[in-house]
Amino acid sequence: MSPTSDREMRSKLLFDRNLFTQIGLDSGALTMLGTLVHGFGDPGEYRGTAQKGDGPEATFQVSVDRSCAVAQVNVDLATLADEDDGCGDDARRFVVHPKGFAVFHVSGGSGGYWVNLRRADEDPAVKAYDSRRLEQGDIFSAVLLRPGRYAIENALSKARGEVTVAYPTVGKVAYRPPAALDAECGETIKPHAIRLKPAQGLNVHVTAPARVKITLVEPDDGPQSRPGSTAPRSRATRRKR
Amino acid sequence: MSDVTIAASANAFEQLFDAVRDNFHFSKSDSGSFGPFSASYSIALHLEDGTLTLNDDNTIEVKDVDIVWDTLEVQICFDLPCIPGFCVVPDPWNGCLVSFPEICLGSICAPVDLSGLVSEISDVKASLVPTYFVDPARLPGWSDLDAELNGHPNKWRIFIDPVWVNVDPIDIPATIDNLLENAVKNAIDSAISFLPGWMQDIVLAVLGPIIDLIISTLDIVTDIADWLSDLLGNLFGLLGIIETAVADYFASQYPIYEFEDPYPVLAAEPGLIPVKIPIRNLAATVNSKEMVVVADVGP
Repeated sequence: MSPTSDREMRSKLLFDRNLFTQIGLDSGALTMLGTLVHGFGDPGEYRGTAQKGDGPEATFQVSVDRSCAVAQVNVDLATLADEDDGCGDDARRFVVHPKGFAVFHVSGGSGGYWVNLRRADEDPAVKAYDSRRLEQGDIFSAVLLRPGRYAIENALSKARGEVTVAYPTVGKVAYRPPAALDAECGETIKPHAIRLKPAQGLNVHVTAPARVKITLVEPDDGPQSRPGSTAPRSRATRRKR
Repeated sequence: MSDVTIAASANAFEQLFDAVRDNFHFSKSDSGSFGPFSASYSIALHLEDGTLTLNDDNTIEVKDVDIVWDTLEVQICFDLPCIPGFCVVPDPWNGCLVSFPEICLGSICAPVDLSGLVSEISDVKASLVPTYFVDPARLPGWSDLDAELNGHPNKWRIFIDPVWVNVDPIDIPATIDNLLENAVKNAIDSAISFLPGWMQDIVLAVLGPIIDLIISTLDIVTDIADWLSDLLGNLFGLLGIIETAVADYFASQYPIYEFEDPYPVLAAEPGLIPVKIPIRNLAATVNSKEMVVVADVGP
């Protein structure tokens, strides 16, 4: 028997309200359910800024190093802004293999972050990376928790598609979402109609400059509405009523 | 040969024992972490019934004493399963280079009230042990008369000194399945009540049938009743704790009989102090018919 300090003796849910109040997703304004995967390719030192709204929230460094075997570095944009901004700060320095990826995600809060990256040995001829304009090879990973019908679009090319998220049912065994579905977004969105199981992931592979926006069009409230539900309703729902 | 011999019949001894037994009350609470779950308990109990036998080998045997659990409250806390993450970039070996993080739900605590259960002390084997008690409130300068007048005389006390105490495992009823299932369901419903309906349904779908969730999360390989009995009796060590508490109580806290020393023979009268005789070398034994206490009148 060991002390109970590691688990409090009371119920404690970890839900961030933003998980169920932020319904739409935007690759140019990352929130908890949207993650950006970006590969660097060329070794070197990179300087980055996590931005929110008009101003920078935090800076960070990424060393892309052949001697490093790490394939994935997670850059939590939410906590990055909480760290003290200091030179040589390990909390803001990340190392990854040239064939690896930086995963920009938001662990909590309202999010809305985008990322700016440029090489430390700044070359005016090389344009900085701006996550509001995804590049070929980037992946925007998303989880659409709210069941319903969504519109998915590339805000840069106006390519459009549709995503449907099924309503969950309590079965005889615990439900586990199937593997994530892959889609492409560039000049067009393939497949045009994407059907997701509840809480199933969606990996949107960018094939041309893109800003992926996913917007709820019609929510699915399941076979019957629960009394006292505080579910946020979209404008489409209100119109329908 | 002893100067004083006092005997109490088996029936009288049984009444003395009943008083000792009925005065026993025990309460305790504790909590602990056991890997996948945490638990806490709060108990209060007393003893009832039982059959007493005096043996010719100078031992006392008590069987089938009921442990009445006036309070037996258990709370079990565990982490709910996470909504799993997924692979974003697979590697060529069917593994995953880059993954989307899982979404964890948190933990819940389910209280279960089993108050009113009855379990059993199957066997107590004991002998009698006299001890001499010097009242700690007695001042050093007091005479025996001063001590008596102030209500703090020395005493000979006869305790039942257990050789062993066997407490049976707590027999948790099979209805615990429903009790725990409802408790966990209520805890989950309460914890997720602030979520919109569709989010509640996602959580409930991920959790699956509550009874399966309990069994898998708490790593129950037998049945829930046996698991809970083992948790309380062995992991928390309640069987040993009760055995120790009972043994300690009988052996040193509540004597089955006690004599004032010096023993008052004649009460005080106006103008006369009481007549008291000092008791020395007190011994207590039992046989199948009675308890026998012998002592000398000493200086």
